[in-house]
Amino acid sequence: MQHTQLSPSEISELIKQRIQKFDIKPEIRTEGTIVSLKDGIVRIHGLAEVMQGEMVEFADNTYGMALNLERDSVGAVVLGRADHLAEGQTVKCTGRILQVPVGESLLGRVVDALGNAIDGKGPIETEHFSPVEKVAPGVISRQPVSQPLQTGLKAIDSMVPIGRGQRELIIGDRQTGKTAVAIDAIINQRGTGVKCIYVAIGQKASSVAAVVRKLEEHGAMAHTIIVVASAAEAAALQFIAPYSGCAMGEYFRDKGEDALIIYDDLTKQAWAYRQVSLLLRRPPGREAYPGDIFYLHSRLLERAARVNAEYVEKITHGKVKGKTGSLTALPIIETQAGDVSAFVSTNVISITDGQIFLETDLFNSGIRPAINAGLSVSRVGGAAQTKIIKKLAGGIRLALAQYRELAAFSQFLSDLDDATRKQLERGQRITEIMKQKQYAPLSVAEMALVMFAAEKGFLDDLPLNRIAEFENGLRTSMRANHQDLIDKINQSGDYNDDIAAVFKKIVETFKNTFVV
Amino acid sequence: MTGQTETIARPYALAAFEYALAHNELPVWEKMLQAAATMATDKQMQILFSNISVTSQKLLELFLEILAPLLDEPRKNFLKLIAEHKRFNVLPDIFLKFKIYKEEQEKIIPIEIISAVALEGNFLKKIADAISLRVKQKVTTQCTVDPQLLGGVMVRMGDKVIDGSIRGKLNRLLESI
Repeated sequence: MQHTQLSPSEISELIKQRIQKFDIKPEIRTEGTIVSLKDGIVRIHGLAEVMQGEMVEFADNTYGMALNLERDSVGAVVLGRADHLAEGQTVKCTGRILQVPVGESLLGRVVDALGNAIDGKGPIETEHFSPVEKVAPGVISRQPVSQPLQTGLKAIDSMVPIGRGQRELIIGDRQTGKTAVAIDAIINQRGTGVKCIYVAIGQKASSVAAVVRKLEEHGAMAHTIIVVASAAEAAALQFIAPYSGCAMGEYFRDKGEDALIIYDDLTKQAWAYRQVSLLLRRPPGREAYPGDIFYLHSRLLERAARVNAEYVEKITHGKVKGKTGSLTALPIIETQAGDVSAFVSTNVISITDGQIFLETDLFNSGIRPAINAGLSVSRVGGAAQTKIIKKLAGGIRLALAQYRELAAFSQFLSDLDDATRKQLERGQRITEIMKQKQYAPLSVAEMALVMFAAEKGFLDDLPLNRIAEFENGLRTSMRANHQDLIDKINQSGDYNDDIAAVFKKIVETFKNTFVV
Repeated sequence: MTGQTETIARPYALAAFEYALAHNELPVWEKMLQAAATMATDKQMQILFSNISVTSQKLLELFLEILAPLLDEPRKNFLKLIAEHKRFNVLPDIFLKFKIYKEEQEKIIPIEIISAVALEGNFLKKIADAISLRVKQKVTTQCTVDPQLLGGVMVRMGDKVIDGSIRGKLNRLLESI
């Protein structure tokens, strides 16, 4: 197809330079022939020297990836459209493993699984390329998770805190707000220096467009890369997209910066991989997934890590010294009717450092984010939690889980003793305080104040339906009168008696003006 | 050669080759396999192959009769085995594989030299010598003329291609711009 518009690289001076620099040495390459072609899977005869995972070149600048190396043939997937390929065409080895562009210039852009811009803002110029499949950093290069990654959601930061370099699964049925949690986490990274990558796999293009619009609205696109392999794209691209996104995130990690990557969602990636595997005639296993479905996700999630300063120094050749890097992963898994014991979900649960479990019932009863406090855990985040939140929200998860049990049990009882009734009322208020609107992440200080009010029992004598209003007002009054305190807490995260005294004063002053 | 028939052809070719090598009968085996392959690629034979009323016993008799001058007991047995497994259609692949084994044994690599215009013998020898020096093996050359290349030569050794043609260079120039 001929384009009628000139592209920026078509300036005659540039073309002249390219012609001058052009290497006219004969090219040595390995060739093969397409034997069969079906559903985006190509069987190639020849290509004796091809490597596993190598890019192969088809006619008309189409690329594929060699996945099956068999005795007499090579099985490859076409990365993109395959309708112009035909049996008998030649296929060339490229000698390269699949690579994607990485770097700062990708921030604010929407790209496909191969790193090509698809947002209509012109081509992306990057200096660096990185292989899509890389081995995760080893034991020696790692450091324990110790810094918090604030999502800005009260329920998550207080009960299932996430640390930088952690892998925390977001799991739940459809329509339970999984993506909403992830988007809020991205929005809350504004101004923190954490780069975000949102990988959309097998989603409707309209949903992705809505996410992009929301992020732009909240000024969060500047620090975000969106990698899209929509439902309309080839299964091979949907399977490769998380690895591409991960390579883009690793670039920041290896530079001593912090990055957050969201895989939305890995269930669909597993489906795409199952399709590719079955078409390649690999033997099916449980739920027809291939034998390496666990490795598919474990090698991906293992690349999310916190690396130490020596590693960063080595990778950057001494340019960055004394800085640790991290890549935090929030994979998303969609369950069917709350069944967490399906194959892929149990796999990913066992790989990750904890999960945030979202429930339809909670969502429908208006508790949003619909986090189930009992089933959600964070195995390493506790060490990374901000001191002030840890102090004030320490018992909340347990109290809430106990309350749910008690609430279910108390339905059968007519008379409740005083202690039980108190506990129930406290639980109701905590549940109420954990509710949060979408796209409204909170700072550490605001969150701490709300926790303080709940913890010290200031909410106990308020009617349930006024709690949200009270919380809102409390935060507004704090922002209006104590900006210096907010800044101080956000920066240090410390908690002491002085801060407790000021908090007490703020809550008491506001409560006196709050008309019940 | 296609992937599937190649896999089927391999054990037959290997067995025939190893037997012929052990009994010092490589040339005559090659001749027989070549003749059989030519027969199998014949259009009328192909019609017979696909006709279910023609049994493999009938086909075997036909092969034995036509190839009679080239056959002794072991070679007859070979054809009987082919008939038993109804593999007449892979005979061309068996021959090709057999030839590859034979060339490997004799340390000869077949190369194909493709040029835009017919090459002079002198020049051809020069290319063949240069390549045989590089791969440290003898080569047998086969020439093809393809005006599409515009100029220069393209050398093909198995899956490897050395592309020194003007067409290839133009294509790469196009890509780099």
